[in-house]
Amino acid sequence: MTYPATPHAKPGFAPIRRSYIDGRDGQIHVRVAGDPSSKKRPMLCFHLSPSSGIVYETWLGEMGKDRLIVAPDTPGYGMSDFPSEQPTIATFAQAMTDVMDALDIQEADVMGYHTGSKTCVELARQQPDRIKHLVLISSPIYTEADLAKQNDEMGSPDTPVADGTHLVHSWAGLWRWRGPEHTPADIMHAFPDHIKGGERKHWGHAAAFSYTYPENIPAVKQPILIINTNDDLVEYTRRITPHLTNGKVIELMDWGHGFLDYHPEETSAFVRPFLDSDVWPDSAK
Amino acid sequence: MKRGYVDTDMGQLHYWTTGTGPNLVLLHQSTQTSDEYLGLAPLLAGSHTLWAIEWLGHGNSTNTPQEPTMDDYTRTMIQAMDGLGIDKTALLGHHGGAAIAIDIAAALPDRITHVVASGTGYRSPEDAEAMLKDRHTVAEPITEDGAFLNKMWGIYTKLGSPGTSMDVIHRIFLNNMQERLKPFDAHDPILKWNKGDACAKVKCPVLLLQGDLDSFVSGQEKLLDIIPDARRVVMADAGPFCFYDKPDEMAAVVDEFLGA
Repeated sequence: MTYPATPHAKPGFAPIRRSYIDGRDGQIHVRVAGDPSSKKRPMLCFHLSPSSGIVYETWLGEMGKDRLIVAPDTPGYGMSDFPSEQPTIATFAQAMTDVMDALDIQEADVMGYHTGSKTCVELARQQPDRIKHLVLISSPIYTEADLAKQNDEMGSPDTPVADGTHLVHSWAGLWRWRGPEHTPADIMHAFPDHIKGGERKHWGHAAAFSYTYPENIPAVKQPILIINTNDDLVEYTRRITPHLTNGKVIELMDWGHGFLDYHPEETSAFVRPFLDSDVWPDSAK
Repeated sequence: MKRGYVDTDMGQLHYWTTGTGPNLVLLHQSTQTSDEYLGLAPLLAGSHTLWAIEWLGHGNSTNTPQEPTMDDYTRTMIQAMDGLGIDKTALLGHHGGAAIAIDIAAALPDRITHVVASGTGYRSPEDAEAMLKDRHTVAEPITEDGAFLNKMWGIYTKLGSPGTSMDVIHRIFLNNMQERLKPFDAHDPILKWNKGDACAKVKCPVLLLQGDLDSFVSGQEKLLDIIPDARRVVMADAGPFCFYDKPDEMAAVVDEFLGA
């Protein structure tokens, strides 16, 4: 049994255990599934802001069937300690190297969701010999106007107020961008981790908005598969193609947030061949 | 401070620990987490090794698909103590955590040196039965518009002690929210437990604490007649979340009792 209960787990999914590792800036909380002795390369999964590894619970159960898979809580999120100062994507990547070292993972494939996708790119730059494949859920490229809008909506502190409207505001943001299958209970499952950062909740977004793909992704030579679903970053992600040297984009417009919970087997059906045999999905361009 | 997990026969329990000296295990109230005692850490860590362990189904500890029993709560907590190498220890529990502390003390008379039972009272079996008819925790349905959040927040803003900050209320609220998704009420296993029998078996000194603004507690003075070695202190201007919002005053009375 795991906690919080994994609502979308199915029979045959790998069980999840939780633990902490000591990072350079405090403890990092991790969810782990699968067999460390598996011959398949381990996978690390980095979440979006401001959430936690909770978004990968179903995916861990699916991919943990045949490999070690780890979803850390980014420093300052979930149960990981806050870093001592405003983090950057570079410091997030360093923290994930600490996770790999602590778990004795020499080589890994990585998956990243929104902010986490930028951490994947930076980790691949910092550890080119250790990161073998990248799966990015979105890869947004912003104009100055886009960035100003994103910063305005998500880049500032979320201060509790007496009338509780800060909660409804946060809820409304998640509900607005819910996936096609999402229920209120799904949103509630992740909501506590979404808001617990309080005054520092925006740190992850601030880090992400300061890191750009055009500057960084061309240096990544490992294969990159970008999953572009119909979520809040769909249009921004479509700008990535000219910047890819060894990457393709698969568009899945019937999916949105929550697809890893509702379509884990369909996702693994094209992710596993990519990770294990360098086979791109048929529809990837 | 270090956080971690310890294995039990029902899964992992989550905890934090800090300090040096004799052990003091901290048991939070129903529907809260080990976060409830973070304010005590800087005040008591110099004199005690603190262990704040989240019960089964709370915080980051293993959830259960069905309602656990009081025996599940107590047994897994003892297994956690065993797994963490906690032999002789004092226990401090608040509300439901006090009930678990009493149950552990009754089961382990040679290991428990003191019990601080805060915010726990006495109900007749008939009163407890009547309370079980109403769901206490999950009253508001989760709706698309998020209005339930506003309503629940309004309740929590009224439960703090006078002057409690919005940040503290935010923490209390946040720790409670996961309860919204449980198919059962975490209070119920405690209401179904025979408190009188356990209280009579406690051999160590017991300090009963009650906040004078804690409307969830009644009949605590009756426990003085049941527990063999008990004394009682009423805390002024203290509500149901006194360990969050009045840690200095709570730590002082606890430290004095344990030191004595």
